[in-house]
Amino acid sequence: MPTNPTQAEGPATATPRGAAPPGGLLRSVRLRLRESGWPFVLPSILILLALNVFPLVFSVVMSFSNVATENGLSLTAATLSNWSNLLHDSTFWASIEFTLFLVAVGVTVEYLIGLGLALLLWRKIPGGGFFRVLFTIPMMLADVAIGFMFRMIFNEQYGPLDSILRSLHLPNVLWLSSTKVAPVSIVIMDVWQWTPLMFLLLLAGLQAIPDEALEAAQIDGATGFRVVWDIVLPMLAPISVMAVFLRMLLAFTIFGNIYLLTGGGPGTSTTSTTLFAYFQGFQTFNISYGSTISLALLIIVTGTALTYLAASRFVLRRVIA
Amino acid sequence: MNESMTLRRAWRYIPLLGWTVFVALPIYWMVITAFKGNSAIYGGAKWIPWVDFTPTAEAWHEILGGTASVLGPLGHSLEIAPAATLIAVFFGSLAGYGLARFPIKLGLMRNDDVAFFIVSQRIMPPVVIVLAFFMVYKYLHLLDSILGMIIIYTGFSLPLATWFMTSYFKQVPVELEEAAYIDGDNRLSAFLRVALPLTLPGLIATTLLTFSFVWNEFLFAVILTSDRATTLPITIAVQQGEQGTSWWNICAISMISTVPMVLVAIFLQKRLVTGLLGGALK
Repeated sequence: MPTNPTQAEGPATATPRGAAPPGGLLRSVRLRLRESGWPFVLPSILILLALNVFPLVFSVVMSFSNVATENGLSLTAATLSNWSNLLHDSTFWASIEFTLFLVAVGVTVEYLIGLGLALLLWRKIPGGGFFRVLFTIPMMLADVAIGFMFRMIFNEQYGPLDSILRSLHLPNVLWLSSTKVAPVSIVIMDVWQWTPLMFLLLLAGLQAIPDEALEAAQIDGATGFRVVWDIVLPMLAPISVMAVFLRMLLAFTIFGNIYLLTGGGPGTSTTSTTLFAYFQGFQTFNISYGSTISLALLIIVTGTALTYLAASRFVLRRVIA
Repeated sequence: MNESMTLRRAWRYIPLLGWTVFVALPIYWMVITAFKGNSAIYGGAKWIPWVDFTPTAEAWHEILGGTASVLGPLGHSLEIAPAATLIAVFFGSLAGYGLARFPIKLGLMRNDDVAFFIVSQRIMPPVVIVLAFFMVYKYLHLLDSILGMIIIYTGFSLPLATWFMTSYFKQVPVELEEAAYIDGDNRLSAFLRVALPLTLPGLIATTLLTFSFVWNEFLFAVILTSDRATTLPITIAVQQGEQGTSWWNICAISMISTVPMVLVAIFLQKRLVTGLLGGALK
């Protein structure tokens, strides 16, 4: 022990500052690390209670009241009327249906493309760095900027897509004015914006796979596709679960880009639930109904999240075992 | 052998270039439209500057001090985003350190439960809290104020900042802090002097990610601001006036709001990956 200079030095510098005697020093340090972490965590807990939990509770209260904003703030009891209206509101159900469509189709497509791109750029190839940066950029742009970009792209009179189709003598597509096509256009925009996140996460997951695992497979004679299917995909399972989860949460709350691309139309074909809550709260000024819609969304998101996490835990256990 | 390897890999460029076109087209269109005039937009698709249309800097004059100046909102964004980011990352680091290093008990709750409580706040759709914020802010006269925006962005960024920083602190070896205690540091100074600097790459990644969220955020801004605290995304959204949409202005403002984020993307390309992974692969 005394031959180790750093350990011999430690106590020597500490004693003059009046710390514990040399013998008990290490023990007192260990005790330090066993002290409670509350002083560090408490500020954040308080902030979250004030800025997230309290607004949530307030929202619940509003959903059971009628809110008037004319003279300050007044709440009158409305019991269950907001909630029973919600259950019979076909626009609400349409918005849920559209949101689920976006979550299911958008996130799936993003995962598959992101996985493909990550596999293509996994091994170093010339120009790989350029592709990686370019493929990351869309997720860093503002929602509203993306909404407007795609309004230009999908413009049925002056848009570049239209001019390409016309030069190929293909029929023009009613990207934004058909209730059938508009939801698909939103998915295209969402895929453009968020495939980067999947790509980044899955690429990181690929790079974290130890070389030994792949070498062992190659010694066994496995090649290309089989290596990916048998070795790589199972090892990517944990990060895939996390990536899809993150994307799902974001997709459920899609708002800004749709607001500018279609404004929820035509009709209500692209009205996401957040957009519907916003319209009710701030265009019809029915704040209590807006709260009710947003809470219904919270219930659906939470339910989906818990189901997803339970299901993925089950799947992960089987994949890893 | 080597040649056939190269050939076998060459096919990769076909899908990669295909995706490049898809990603680049909207960005290219935004950039050229920022230099287009009225006729270049409403006369059908114009692709190539100097060939198809004559570039003009009109939009730039308009938004940088002209009739549609965005300098005010740009200033608001530059106040709100850094302030909210710094506060959120500071408290997130503090909490992350506490969760990663020290035991926490509250009834049956342990570290993982408290960490889950914090991260689970991110499940909350933003629209749930913003309606309540609107009412409370109206009452407290915080609507359309820089302070109000800093507060709501801080609260909403905190869960992710805590999550990331927790995973970074778990990667820092505890021995260096033990040495700091021996040198007479208390827990706070060991955190500030030793642990925090050691997570610098992660700290930067967390900061940039939080910043990009606040910088781009739209829902809170559109509901809670109207004039004195409007942010850049709002100015993009309001360009569709009665005389039609000022596409050139929108594109120029989008470019202003985008350039810092593209720099972030380039910088983060490597760091972000480890940052997100640190949280994922525990």
